[in-house]
Amino acid sequence: MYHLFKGLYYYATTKEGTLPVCPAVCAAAKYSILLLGLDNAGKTTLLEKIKSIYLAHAPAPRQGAQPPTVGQNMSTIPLPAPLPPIYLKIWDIGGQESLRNLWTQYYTSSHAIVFVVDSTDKARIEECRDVLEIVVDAEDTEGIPILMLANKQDREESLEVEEIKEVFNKIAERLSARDSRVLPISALTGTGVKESVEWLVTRVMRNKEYRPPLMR
Amino acid sequence: MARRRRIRPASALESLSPLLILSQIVALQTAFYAVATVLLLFTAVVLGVRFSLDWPFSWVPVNGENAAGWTVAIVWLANSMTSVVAITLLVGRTKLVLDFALTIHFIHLLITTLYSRSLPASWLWWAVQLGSAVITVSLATWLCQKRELRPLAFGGRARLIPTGGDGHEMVPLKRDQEP
Repeated sequence: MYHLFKGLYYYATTKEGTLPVCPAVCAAAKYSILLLGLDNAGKTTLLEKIKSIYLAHAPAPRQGAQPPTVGQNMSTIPLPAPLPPIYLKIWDIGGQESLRNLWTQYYTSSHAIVFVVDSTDKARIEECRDVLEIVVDAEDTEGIPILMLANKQDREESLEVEEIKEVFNKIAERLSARDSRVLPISALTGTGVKESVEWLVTRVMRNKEYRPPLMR
Repeated sequence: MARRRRIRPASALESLSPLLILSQIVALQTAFYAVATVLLLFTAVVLGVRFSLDWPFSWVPVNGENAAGWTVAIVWLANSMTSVVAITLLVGRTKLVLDFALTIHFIHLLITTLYSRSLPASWLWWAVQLGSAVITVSLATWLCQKRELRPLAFGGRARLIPTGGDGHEMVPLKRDQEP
């Protein structure tokens, strides 16, 4: 009876928003998504855009250029629709050359990799391909879906998706066995961002036998 | 005065769900009286006495002045095993055993008092309640502890020696450590 009254007291004095929406029975699945790519590709801007789309009280994305990320940014995005609920835990990791060694630490716990490419940076597209090759060849990334995003499509001078696909074709051939795709987006204006997230959701769920999500 | 609203971990609220606890209390009390009635009915038949609702619900039959009173007292003590089994199966949590066991006896005191329209005046009745409470708390705590410490079984049956094939094997998961 003590615990009954304790429970009643707790329910009476707890903020409404923190009451469990879902009982323990339907634990929510949590998938980790890695945002990778060269520096200045737009990973942080993309994360900010996703937050502004999917989080109710997210602050508006910062206008203008993001400063380079040192370390990481992380956001957990709840996805409304299907029962049981799904959470995407998105990790945005600094892409500067000196920070790329850290990426490997994240591979084992991620369920999908998003590789963001700066479509306007023709000079570094080769470097981009080499970096992606390293990521794909890593042992711990085997079998997880990879989404390549051709970012900055709002800019006039950006390469077409077809051109980018051509550059990555060599890798794509090796990727054929697993889920991968190239999508054109603009993290700044938000075009294609929703489609990318939806693609990720279907792929990580399809892949959940191989990489089961964290339940909480 | 405005009430202060606090943030509490969702897990605390989930395990303290009043609806769950209330239904557990109702179920335990029902089992307590159902089994007691069956046992007392059996005793009445064996003794060749007419059974009435007084037996489970009143404190008057439990008196230390005649053999029948002592028999009923023994039956009540035996009935504490009902609570032990019911608590282990329905609650199963060591930390909650004391609360639920005492609640059963407290509710029984209330019902007896209301049914007989007076507080129990028989010393044997109080002694039986004390003994029953001690048995329930100690045995149920022990059983729940055993149950909680039981080795985990994967895929239905616990297997002591991991074998190949379709069985599940314990493998340290690297991905459990978050980056």
